[in-house]
Amino acid sequence: MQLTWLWRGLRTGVLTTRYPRRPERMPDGWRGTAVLQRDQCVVEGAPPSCVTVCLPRALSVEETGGDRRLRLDHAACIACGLCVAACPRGALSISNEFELAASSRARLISEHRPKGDRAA
Amino acid sequence: MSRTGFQLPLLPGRSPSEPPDTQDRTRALEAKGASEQVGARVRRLFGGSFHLRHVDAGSCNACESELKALANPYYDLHRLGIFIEPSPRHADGLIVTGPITLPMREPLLRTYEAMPEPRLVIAVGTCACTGGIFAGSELVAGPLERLLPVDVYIPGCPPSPLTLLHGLLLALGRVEEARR
Repeated sequence: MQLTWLWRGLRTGVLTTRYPRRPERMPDGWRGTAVLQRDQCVVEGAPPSCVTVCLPRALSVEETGGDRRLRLDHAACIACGLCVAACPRGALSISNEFELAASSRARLISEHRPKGDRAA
Repeated sequence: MSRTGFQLPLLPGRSPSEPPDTQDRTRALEAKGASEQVGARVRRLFGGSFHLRHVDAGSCNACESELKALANPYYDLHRLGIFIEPSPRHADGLIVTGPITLPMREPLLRTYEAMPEPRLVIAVGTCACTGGIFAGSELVAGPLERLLPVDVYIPGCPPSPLTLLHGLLLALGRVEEARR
């Protein structure tokens, strides 16, 4: 009887993830967090359509004296994907990156300042 | 004996309506390096394991569901020497989920007070990190960073078990932080 289970165990092998030692990969389509392709984004519209649809206000526009920045707070992002559908230029996407933890709040915020804006 | 029976004494100099004060800030300075201290002990050969206390501060239980999944044979949290404890007295770290509702504010702070030092605080989920969709509500005292010094932020709604694992190992300094 016990040998049956031993044979079963040997045949199946170890299913436990080896995560910190061996890298793990999430399947495509798994939703981790929203990421911004900086070269695509121009922060157009007041407010931009992505900021309008963002429910937890992870996306916001900050304006200080003509300087216009798009702020993406990964700590607030719930990876719903509404901003991906709303962006007319396809600058936003949902990545399947899972190693998202950070030791400080600032590391979870990415800011984008479009190039054309600085000249204007 | 009063109707409520046994009552823990309230924390000194703090009432439920009081905003985060200088006491919190000095505590934040004291707790600086708790992550390094605990991490150094755990990484040492035969140094010991990492024990956590979980407080549900108004979570929707999605984060709990993922935390529970860490104990299953696939993720197997215990192989890494990480355990979830039933008492804050035995814990090195505090896992907090949820946007810290007002009734859970005091129990959370008492749990933190009951933990021996060095102690670290891990914010799990969007709600604990920023308040999520509850941010700015008058019924929540959070986000967590307004009450306690947070060492590791684990974002996600809910964070997947592997994200949680990454965060817990990051608290111990065993994995690298992602670049963004």
